[in-house]
Amino acid sequence: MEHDHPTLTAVHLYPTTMDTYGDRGNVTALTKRAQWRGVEIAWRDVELGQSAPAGCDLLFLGGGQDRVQRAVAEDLVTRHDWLAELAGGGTAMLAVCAGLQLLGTRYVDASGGVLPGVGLLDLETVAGNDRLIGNVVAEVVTGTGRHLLAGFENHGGKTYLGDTEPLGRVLAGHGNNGEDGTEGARSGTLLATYLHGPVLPRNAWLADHLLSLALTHAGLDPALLPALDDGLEAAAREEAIAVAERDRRRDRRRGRPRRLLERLRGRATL
Amino acid sequence: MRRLPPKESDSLRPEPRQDLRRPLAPDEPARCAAPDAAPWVAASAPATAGGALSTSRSVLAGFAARSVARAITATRSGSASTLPGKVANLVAPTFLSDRAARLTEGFALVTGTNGKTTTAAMSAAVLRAAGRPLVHNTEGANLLSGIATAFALQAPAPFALLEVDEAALPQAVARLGAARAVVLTNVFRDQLDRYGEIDRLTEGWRTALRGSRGAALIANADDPLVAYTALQSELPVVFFGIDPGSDVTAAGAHEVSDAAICPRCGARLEYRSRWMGHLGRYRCAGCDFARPRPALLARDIALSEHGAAAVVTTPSSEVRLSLKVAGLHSIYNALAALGLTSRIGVDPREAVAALARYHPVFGRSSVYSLRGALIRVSLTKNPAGLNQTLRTLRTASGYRALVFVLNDNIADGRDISWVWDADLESLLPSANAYVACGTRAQGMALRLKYAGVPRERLTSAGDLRSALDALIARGERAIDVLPTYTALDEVRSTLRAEGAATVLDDRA
Repeated sequence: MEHDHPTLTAVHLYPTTMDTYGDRGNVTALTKRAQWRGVEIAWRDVELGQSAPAGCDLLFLGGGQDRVQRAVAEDLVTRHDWLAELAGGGTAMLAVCAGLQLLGTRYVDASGGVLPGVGLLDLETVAGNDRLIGNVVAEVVTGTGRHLLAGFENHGGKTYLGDTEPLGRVLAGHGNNGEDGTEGARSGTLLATYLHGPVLPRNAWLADHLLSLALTHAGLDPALLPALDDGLEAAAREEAIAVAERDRRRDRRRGRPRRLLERLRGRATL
Repeated sequence: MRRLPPKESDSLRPEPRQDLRRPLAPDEPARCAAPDAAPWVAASAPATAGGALSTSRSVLAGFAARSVARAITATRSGSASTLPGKVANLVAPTFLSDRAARLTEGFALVTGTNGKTTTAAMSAAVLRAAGRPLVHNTEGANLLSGIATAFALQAPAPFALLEVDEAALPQAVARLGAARAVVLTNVFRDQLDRYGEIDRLTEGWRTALRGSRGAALIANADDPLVAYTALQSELPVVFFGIDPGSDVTAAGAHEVSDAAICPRCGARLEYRSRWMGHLGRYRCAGCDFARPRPALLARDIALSEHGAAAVVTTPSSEVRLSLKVAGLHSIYNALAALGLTSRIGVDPREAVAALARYHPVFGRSSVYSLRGALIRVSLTKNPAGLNQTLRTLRTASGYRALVFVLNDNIADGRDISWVWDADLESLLPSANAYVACGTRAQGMALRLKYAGVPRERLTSAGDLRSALDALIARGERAIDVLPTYTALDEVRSTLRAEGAATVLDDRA
């Protein structure tokens, strides 16, 4: 049987319970950017307690509010073997915000209670006194060069990495914990970030990076992804970088340490 | 448009709601908490010891506030809807409690994420038509300063109808004491960067309702978060809700939900139907929490571009509701107004007659004419509101131009992720031109691109005035402008500067 379009299989984990701050924009970006190159993505929604397909090329796990975190954590732990197999087998995975926290080893809440994580990433999260909120720019190095990642973070937990690489270095904003300059985490084809909402539409290179990993997993040629006209994407990211810089200058006036955004921007692939 | 140079009116309204220089601690009140605010319960009793002193200070505070208002008006330096109240609260910290204590018929509060300004305005229209004088904060000035401004500048009346920002409800109750009635319209995601999570908001409501003994609640049965908060309060509740037609239900199926799980037990909420975000007919899969039966129920709903109609069943009668404001949300606002005013003693038949004459307020949906084009301006500040506005625009016939003005100032919320939560994919009406403006014009343009707007119809403009000029010059005769909160002021002043005439707007 002949297929008109190459197709990727994808899982959206907990689309209704872990869906806050515009997470659906990330699913839209992956779907559209694949479609514009003639590649279809067959999404399968997997809710709490529902069975998941044995394998997939792409997986997305969004953010959620504190209230749903426990229910999701309990469900996620039962899926440990499946998730570990996907990650080990090269499925392209993106986890955002609470998704990042739950893929770590544990979450310690304000009263010292421990919520076990699924342990795919060696990191732990501790409830902080202040929420880390604001515009962020991070520098991310991939096989295709240096990239800038721009977006917005809003998290109460502070994440500390163990034996896991950060996704990027913070140029403006807080990042994982506001202390060590790390943003997100990655391990093989699993990427995690605190930047929520439209992180993929605005950072088209990251969407394409995930699609290319997914194509590789599907045994397809990543060259199926020719360059697109990303003028609007670039303009939206420039705008996001500009507001992050505005915030950074404002923080600096209030005595925050000077960061090296301008200098590093010159070096990064825009 | 790029942000305008700071001018006096910008610093007056919208009021900076939160010092953004540092993030909120999880247990910190969202804002407005006066450092010296007394604990909830203690503050609900008006000052008695040293009462004479505090009363004379209150009189002085009222005088100071009126002087400030006169100065603002005389110098035409902006709107006088919050600064006079700020001055009054500064001069006399007990100003609000003193004024509240003088209301012989008490006061009612209207709060919630969406619809509070309109619900309060509709209720005020009904009460005025019934010959009931009242104090009422208008123009969405719904923080303590706006409420104090209303008390300071308006003629004393036996009753007050007060719109309260959803995050400021605990502070308002702490100052004013127990209301006779509290309307809870709905809880949607709105400015999560500023308010924190929705749960923190309902937690604040529970605190406020504990300080409202004797109040009756008028609450939205179709919103599980509101219904649960109301049921938990142990106060008497009048629930309102709707029974929509099947086409309305189908339209809400794709929207994001802020209530996927049961607020009581954490199990999954099952919806028989869902029509606006998480508003719908729900039941918990794990416990016996379910949508309460509404005492005020709207059915046989008919929506058009120019209005909305329904049959409303009340405990005592059945009335026909006919509104000149469009959209399903207008039915909800009218139901809340019916519930509130009948609690204050107005006959529902009298109330629907007044509601039939009601026109929109505060330019939240006003119409202007400019060089032959009709320009309709609708405030859109969160996903649920934007969905609802788009749904209303879709009932309009013919082609038009759509101008989105997305700002990320403090009062708008600095996080613009919310535009991705709006269901533009299903709800965006067809138009000749789509223009993105505001401080985050590029972010909005990108959202429209991914919603499927053809590239050749999509532009971003640095400035609203040139965007409108270009649209009118190329012959667009119907232009819808959808600004966020701070952009609304900029839109109005731009239209004024261009010489636009107001066609429909009864703020005066």
